[in-house]
Amino acid sequence: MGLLAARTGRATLIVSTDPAPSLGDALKQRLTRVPRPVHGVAHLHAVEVDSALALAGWLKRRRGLLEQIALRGTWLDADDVARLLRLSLPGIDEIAGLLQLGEFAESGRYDHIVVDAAPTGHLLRMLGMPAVLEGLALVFDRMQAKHRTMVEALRGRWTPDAADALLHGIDDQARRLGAMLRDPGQCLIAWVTLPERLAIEETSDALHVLNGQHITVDRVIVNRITPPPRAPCRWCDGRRRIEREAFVALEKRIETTGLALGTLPAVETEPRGVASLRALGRHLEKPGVRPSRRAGRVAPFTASLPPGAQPVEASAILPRGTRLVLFGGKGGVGKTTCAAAAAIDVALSAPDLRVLLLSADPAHSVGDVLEAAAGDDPHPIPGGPPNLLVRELDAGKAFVTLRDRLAEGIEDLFLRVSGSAADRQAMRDVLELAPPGVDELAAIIDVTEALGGTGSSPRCDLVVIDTAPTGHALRLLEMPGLVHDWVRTVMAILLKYEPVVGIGDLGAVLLRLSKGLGRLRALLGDAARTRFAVVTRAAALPRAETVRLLGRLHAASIAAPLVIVNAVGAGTCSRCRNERRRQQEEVLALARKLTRRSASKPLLLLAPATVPPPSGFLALRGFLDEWRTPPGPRRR
Amino acid sequence: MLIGGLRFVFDKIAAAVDTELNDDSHLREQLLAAQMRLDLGEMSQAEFDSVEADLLRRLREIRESREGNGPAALSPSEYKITGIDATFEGDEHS
Repeated sequence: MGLLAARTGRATLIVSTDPAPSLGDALKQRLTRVPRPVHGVAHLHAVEVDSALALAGWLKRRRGLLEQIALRGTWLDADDVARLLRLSLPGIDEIAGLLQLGEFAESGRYDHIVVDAAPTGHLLRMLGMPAVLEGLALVFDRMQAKHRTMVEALRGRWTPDAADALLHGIDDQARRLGAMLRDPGQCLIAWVTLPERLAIEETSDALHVLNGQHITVDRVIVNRITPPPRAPCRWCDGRRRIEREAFVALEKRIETTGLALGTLPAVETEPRGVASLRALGRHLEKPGVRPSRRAGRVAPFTASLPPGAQPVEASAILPRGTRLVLFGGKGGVGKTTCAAAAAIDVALSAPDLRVLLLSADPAHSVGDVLEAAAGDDPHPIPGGPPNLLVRELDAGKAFVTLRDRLAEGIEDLFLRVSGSAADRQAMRDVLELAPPGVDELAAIIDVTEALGGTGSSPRCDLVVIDTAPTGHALRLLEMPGLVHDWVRTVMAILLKYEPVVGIGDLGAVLLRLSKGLGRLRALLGDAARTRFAVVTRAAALPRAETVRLLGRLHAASIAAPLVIVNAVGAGTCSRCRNERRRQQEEVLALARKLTRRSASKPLLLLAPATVPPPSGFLALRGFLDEWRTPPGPRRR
Repeated sequence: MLIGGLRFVFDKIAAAVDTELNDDSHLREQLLAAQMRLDLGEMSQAEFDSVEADLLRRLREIRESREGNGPAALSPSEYKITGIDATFEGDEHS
């Protein structure tokens, strides 16, 4: 779309706000956090936002004043305030991404900005960020209010100072961003999806949420529609049937909305580089390729894996003693399918173990892939084993529970301090703000409690986590450390004032949190008990992301002993034969990368492509059995 | 305003002294504070054990003086502190 816009001669910027960006891979050009011209295209720049740096920059310019406000408005001293402001707020980079976008938009340098956004769950959170920013400004404003009142009392009047200007600026910026996102004259949202049931469900849910926030989606683009094969082909024909079903379902869902529906065909070679992307973009202009007109029953078909592929022991996938396994990878590769299959397999083969399948992706797909209702209350699948519980975490609800626990302790503390009503209100305001990383925060608290057991439920022996796509899975793993820092900082501050104020219930709650987090962090670092399974596809973009993900996991000391290449194989027509050949090359390339990089080489597994995709308890039950290690190198 | 501030401080000190002598909730808070310091690494396990032993002894003395009973054995595992158990359930994951 960026290429299309640039062709009109208007200055265009393509921005990726995905914390695990693939924009550079797609353009076949190295991108940085500063916009760079795209090679070979006039009027087009591209940039991958580095949220951490963007936020650091934003904060640096404002820190001095924010510290001053906090000092004036609370009974904390300079040391305390500095410590708190130095901590990184878990998940704050969503705000940073949005602020950067706003800055690009308001710079006047570009006529069009095309955003390659983060995957669904976190895009939705990002779009909610203006409200969070406004809330933050309000909290600081209350602190500032105390100061204003005092000065007015002493001097008889108040003149707005730099701090006021800052708060006004933040609030104003937030409102402008919120307004910009909701103004169809300024902001168009194109929702890209796949012609598959799970993707359509996710799209439908997202459209509903956006509608509720009064954010307009301009069109939905269904990507990778399988073209008709040149000869009858069980794979292509099967795919076309399920794609048609999904497409028709989508049409039905959006028929009252007036949303435009665009399509893009599946192309033989992964579109990378300007030329291929241009060719693909042309499809967006003319009436798009349509899925099959023929309805009909889908003949189930499982692609055969390359000859010589070997079966693998279940214990190699999930050894006994594993307590936590996370399935992660690029959006759309099949994390949820693999996570569900693994959880089912363990639960069936070890009925003595209590297994929890937990979805930490705010755009939950676990219920959809199991074809069963799943919610925040963990329960078994109808028809499934009683020792397997499924939960789609309601992060908002979990946060409220945590907040209420903290609120009691904080109220207790304020009673001791005999603080003013304004102080109490300021504290309540802070607690009202759901932090941007709320999904990850809720997930780690839930995992900690599931593994340890609580008063009301026994501990789980194994927790299988279906993570959000890469960037946020990484944030999930960083979260325990970040939250632990916060908890410990507040504990230290409490202890400092203990002789005057005492500690109370807040200290007890924080201590319990701190211990739980300490245990969780120890567990995460223990390769015998925690593993990260990377799910990927036999294609270049997922491969690049996989290699980067493995690097980040290694840096975080998280064991990643498994890489599962999903949806391997194809049919018999000429297109499919080419596809199979390309996949084999990709798998070889991936295997070479894995061997080269790490001391402990991950086990590479191939999971076959099936039509329809494995869905429902019965289909998922057999899926793990079909996973194979790739054939060894051919001997000469 | 200054007078009010001083008054506030004096009241607090008086309350603290009173608390120190007679109130076991203050001792329980000190135990919680020690647990927090241990968790933060501000105190070693050996130091904590010694502080804990001392506090539990004083708590026992207060309890006995209230009940008028003879000395009773009190183990850390029996004592519940301000909403956090002195035994830490769920501690072992092995």
